Amino acid sequence: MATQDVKILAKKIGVSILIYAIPLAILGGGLSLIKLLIIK
Amino acid sequence: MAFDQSSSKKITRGTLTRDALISVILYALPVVALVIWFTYTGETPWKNPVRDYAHVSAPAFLKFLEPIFKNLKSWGFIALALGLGVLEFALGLYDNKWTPTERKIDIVCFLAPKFLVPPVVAYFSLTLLPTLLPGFANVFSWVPFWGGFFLIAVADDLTQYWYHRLHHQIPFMWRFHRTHHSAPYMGMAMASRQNFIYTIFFSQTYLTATLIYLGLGYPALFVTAIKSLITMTAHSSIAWDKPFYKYRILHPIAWVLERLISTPATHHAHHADSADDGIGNYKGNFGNMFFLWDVIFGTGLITRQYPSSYGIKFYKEEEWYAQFLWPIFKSKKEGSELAANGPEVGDEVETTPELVSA
Repeated sequence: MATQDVKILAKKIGVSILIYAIPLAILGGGLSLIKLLIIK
Repeated sequence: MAFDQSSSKKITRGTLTRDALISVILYALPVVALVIWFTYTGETPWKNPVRDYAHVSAPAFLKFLEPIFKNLKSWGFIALALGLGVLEFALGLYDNKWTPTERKIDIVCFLAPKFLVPPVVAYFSLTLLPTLLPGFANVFSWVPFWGGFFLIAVADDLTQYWYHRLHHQIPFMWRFHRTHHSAPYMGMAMASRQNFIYTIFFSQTYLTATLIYLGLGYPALFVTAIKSLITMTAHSSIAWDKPFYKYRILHPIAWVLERLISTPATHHAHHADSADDGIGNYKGNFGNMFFLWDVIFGTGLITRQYPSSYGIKFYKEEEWYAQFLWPIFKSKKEGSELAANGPEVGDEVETTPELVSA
């Protein structure tokens, strides 16, 4: 693979990680908040 | 042509920001539903010492279906896909378009990921996640079954919607998804016909694996099985949805179905090689299990008709290894998007009419 291909692959993996991390943060954060807010 | 070249120029920062914000609300919906539920009922299942609360609270009728879904996940879908494939052949739905090159691509893309993906996902789930998130295993196992089902369904499928949509709208990502659109026919094999790098970096695979690690494994079993069934039949050349459009009495069901889930009509439109006939919509219809995302984001087109031809205009029937493993292996076909110095997107290049496939 040429350097150009490695760059494209790295950018593609970066987008994949972003699409993975955003919903995980929303859902994980949301479920944790339920415990924090309602647990009293 | 399947890359959204025209609209990629029109995709404004505003559109993406709007759709991203809508997505945040959609992702949060199941959590909000759970907050309302727990506030209303006063339940506090996280205090329950039973670690697999979600499993215990599963409705009785799902317990009955559990072995079916378990078998579907382990071997059932492979058997179902092969059975569907045989039926498609028997009905002659591939015509004479299944050339030796297409045959190799379909078979390699169907078989190879079944051996190569599970070890990677197993490593991610069993080694990487416990290392990155120690002590988080099953922390959300208190989520009731219906809540987990709703949450996984939205999380998995909306994530795949975005993953898919961006591969059509961001030029540098298109070639990782091109193999899925290169076939000039539709069939059950299309569901798995992907470049391996596209498949191995599926964001929703790892998101769902993480949610399973966090304790939502039981509802995930049902969601992923239903999703596989819908996705496979939406790609199949057997149009199961036709009777719903033909018989007037079924029209109300059709109206709901075609807006809720991917049907052969809406998903075939996504695989069309042209949008000129008003039926093809390769610029949209990105939904996999749910078509609802396309309805919400305005990327959907419902016509209740099927395109007359499929594929991509700039297809050069590239070698199977290039379609499966680009950019690791390149095509030797001159001018191909998958060639060493090929264009990022085919229609950036001026072409003579004879180079344009029908």
